[in-house]
Amino acid sequence: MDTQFKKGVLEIAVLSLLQKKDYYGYELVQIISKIIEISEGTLYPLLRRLKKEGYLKTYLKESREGPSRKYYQLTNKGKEKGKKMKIDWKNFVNKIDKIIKK
Amino acid sequence: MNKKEFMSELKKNLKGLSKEDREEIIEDYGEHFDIGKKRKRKESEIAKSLGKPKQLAKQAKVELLVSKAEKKKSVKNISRAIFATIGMSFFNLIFVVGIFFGLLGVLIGLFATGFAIAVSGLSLAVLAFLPISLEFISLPLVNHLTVFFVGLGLLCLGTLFCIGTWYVGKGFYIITIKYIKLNIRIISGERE
Repeated sequence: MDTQFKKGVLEIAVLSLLQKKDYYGYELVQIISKIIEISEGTLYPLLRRLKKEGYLKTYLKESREGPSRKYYQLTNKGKEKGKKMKIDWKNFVNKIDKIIKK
Repeated sequence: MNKKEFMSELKKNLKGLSKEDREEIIEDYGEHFDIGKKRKRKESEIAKSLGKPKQLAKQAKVELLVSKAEKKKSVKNISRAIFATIGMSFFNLIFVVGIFFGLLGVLIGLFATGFAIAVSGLSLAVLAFLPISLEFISLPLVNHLTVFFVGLGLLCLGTLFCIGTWYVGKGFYIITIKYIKLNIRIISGERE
């Protein structure tokens, strides 16, 4: 897949996954990198940016496995952005589909 | 590369960032290693799948400096953002630096011009009130009142000129940030 294409899709993937529940970084990386081929490190800069821009917040939670983990949670601003991106994405895919099917 | 090597390479390339930002980045990757190891992955394998620490550090650095320049507008912040982006070896940007500083010079020049016009206007207006002869202005029909109004006019003109330049400068700043962001996207896209 084209790298520029991937970059844009990553943000949609993160904001959509987090609509359902909170994830910790490692988990998000594993889920996404199974579907979209990325080097695992590239997701963290995106998460930090989304946090800085106020779409995500983080909290620490203990785990049975060992030390506490950083969980990511959507803010209201993030939820709105996620919904909007989902609509934009569907519209975009529909339009491209029309071209492909011609 | 094991965890220790990865982390020290990362730390080495994060110099220049605030302690808080540095720690956050180091914690993110440290946690990734720890959880990966608990899931029976080898350190070398985790390091490899994360990507090159040097590139990750540079990418993080550029993004932080740009967002800082965006929030707090200053010539220092934007220059740091530009040079950090060059650090990611994007040659197109070196070319742009010339233009950037050229335009910065023009802006400073415009400011100075506006300021000079305003100051000369102010001094003319003040001059009109002083009980001195205006013979040195060798124009016909010059009296104190005309000198005062010409001075006032120049003062307004100079001030407006400065305000105009201020807005042009602001626009210039925003465009520069947009341009850097575009470049980051291209660069990090290519480095994956």
